[in-house]
Amino acid sequence: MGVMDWLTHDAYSSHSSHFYYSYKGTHLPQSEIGNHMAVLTKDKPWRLTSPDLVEERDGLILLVWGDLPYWSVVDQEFYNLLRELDGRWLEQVLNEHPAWREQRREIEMQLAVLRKAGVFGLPEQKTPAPPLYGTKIENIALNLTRRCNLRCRFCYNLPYLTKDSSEEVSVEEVGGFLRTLKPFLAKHPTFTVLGGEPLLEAEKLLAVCEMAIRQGCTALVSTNGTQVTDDFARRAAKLGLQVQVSLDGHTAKLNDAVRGKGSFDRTVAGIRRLIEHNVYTIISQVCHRGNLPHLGAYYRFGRSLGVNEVRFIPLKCLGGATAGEFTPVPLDELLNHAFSLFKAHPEFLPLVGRDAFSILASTCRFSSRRPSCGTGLQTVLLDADGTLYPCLNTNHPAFRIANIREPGFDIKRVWLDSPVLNDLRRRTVLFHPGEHAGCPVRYWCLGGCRGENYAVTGDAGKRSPDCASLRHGIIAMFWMLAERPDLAKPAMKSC
Amino acid sequence: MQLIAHSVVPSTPVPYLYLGYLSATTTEQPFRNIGLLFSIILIAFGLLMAIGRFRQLRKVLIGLLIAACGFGALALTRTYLDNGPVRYQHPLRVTESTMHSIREAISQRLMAGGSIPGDLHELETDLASHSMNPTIDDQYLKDGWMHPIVLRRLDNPAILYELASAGPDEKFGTEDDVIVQSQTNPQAVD
Repeated sequence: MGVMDWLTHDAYSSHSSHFYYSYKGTHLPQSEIGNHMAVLTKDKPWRLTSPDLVEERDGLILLVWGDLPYWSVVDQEFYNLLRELDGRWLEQVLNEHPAWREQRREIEMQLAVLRKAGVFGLPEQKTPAPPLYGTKIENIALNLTRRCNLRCRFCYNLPYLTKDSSEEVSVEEVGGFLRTLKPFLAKHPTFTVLGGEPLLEAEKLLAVCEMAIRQGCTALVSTNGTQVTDDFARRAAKLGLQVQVSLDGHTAKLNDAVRGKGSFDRTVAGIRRLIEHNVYTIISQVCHRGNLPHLGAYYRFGRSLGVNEVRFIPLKCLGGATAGEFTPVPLDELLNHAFSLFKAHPEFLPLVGRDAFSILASTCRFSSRRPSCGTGLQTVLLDADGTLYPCLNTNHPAFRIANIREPGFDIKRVWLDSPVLNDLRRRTVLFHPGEHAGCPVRYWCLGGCRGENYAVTGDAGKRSPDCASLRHGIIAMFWMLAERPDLAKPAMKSC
Repeated sequence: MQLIAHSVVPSTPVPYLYLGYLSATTTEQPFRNIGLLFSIILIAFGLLMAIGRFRQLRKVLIGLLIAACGFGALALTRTYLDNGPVRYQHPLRVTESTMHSIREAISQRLMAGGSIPGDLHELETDLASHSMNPTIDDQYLKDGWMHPIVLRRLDNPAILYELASAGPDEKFGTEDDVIVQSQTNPQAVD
């Protein structure tokens, strides 16, 4: 396996083939337990790497090692064992605690897990480094048009919406771009079409999606749903498109406050049309203070419509949201609300997939040193006028990479040499921890959304304005995963 | 007594140290393709020899031996050359990035009350303990052309030291040297 192959290696998939994972009971295959215990039972005292965070709840202890990164939840007795073992021999400790000696086998298995994670072992041993995510492009986003029939209050693209279609990229231009991008694409990338309202150009939309699907992409369209026709729904189903419809509430009152009067009825009609033609349909809500209490009702509404997925994401301070008309909900509050909802209503779980809760749960399940959320490394946005940006949330002139219409445009040169991309790549929590240094959850938080950081502070590399909320949310997620590991579904790529 | 839940450590080793950079660059392993080509030629030649002379046992055995050598070379190519020296296509950027990381580590050391290291290898422990990379080794202290980065103390109260790479010509004191200086010492400037 070459270096670049390693870089494109998916840590999640590699793990599944080597590791028998379970939150409860046996954590390692027998052969690995043997290996790790052979190391641990040498005639030297063991050392526990000091956790960066210790938190107690209801007799359980959360331990977080930020540098590895690694977290675990243990009971008080196991925590006592760990503390007693630090700097001592296992035999010595077991001799002092006959009750523990009786559980020796189980203790050894659990210690082997910690040894494997690198938090416990002989002093001179180096910590094994977890692998990283790949760096090929996982998601291509396309703003097909900047025209839209709605003016949603917190649209991420609100400042750039226009009525002018003269500069919009053509099907041929998008096709050419996709072909040149191929060497940099991951094995199964997603192609997300947004806008403006992409269904204002339904023919063009279907044509570019068909090209992307032929190139091996999963195609997803994000629409306001008001322009869905029977013809589009039929052809979308035939093509295998996933269609995400933005619907900001389960009632006209909630939705229309954001998306304009009369939009709820037209959107719901569009959703029904998609479902009628068996299109994979997702409804998506941006959560803010006003609609969070109705999240359960939103799921019930989605279930009654028969959609495939119900999605919610937190309001980010980007685009139209910077006007401050709607109040964001702190991440920890949003997660706690969703957790309570899913526990109380298991019937909602089949509808869960790409929502904020599931994405963070999938991230927190793993000990992976991801360099960033993917911006600058795994995502690219082609805007309607042919301009490239690192991702949807960095759709701002400060992050302009290049324009595919520029004479001599060379995607290889652009992808490898762009100062904008390289700046984003350099300023990762991994290589330049800066303000994130010492934070126990930085490898799960990844510094927050760069686009939002820029919109708020004027510097993408600055500490997230929601830093405290992110931190509390991630720690809360560790506890949730300890309680209900089944809620961590593998997150899909498109988000 | 129970370990109730924990995060999962993926078990495949990857060279994560330069990841941020390799994403922006590519690497070449020039001997790999030569090794592969050589192996395939050996295998093909050996098999053709064995198949073509199936009535002459000695030549068949020689052919199979050659093919076996080819498979051996193939295995060596995969196990050794894949992990062998890496030549960066964008060594300048790799060098700059590495130097900035080293400068950051020295700054942290100074802020913690330490002194400028006499040798960059003293930083290995610092770099490892500063959470950046626990398996850091002397490879990290090399530039993008895989030559050592040099630390020079300066007799300048404002700029305490500089990091230098000899650049592509591997000779210090030439135009292509890459130099990164310490951050300005504000006390000295005042």
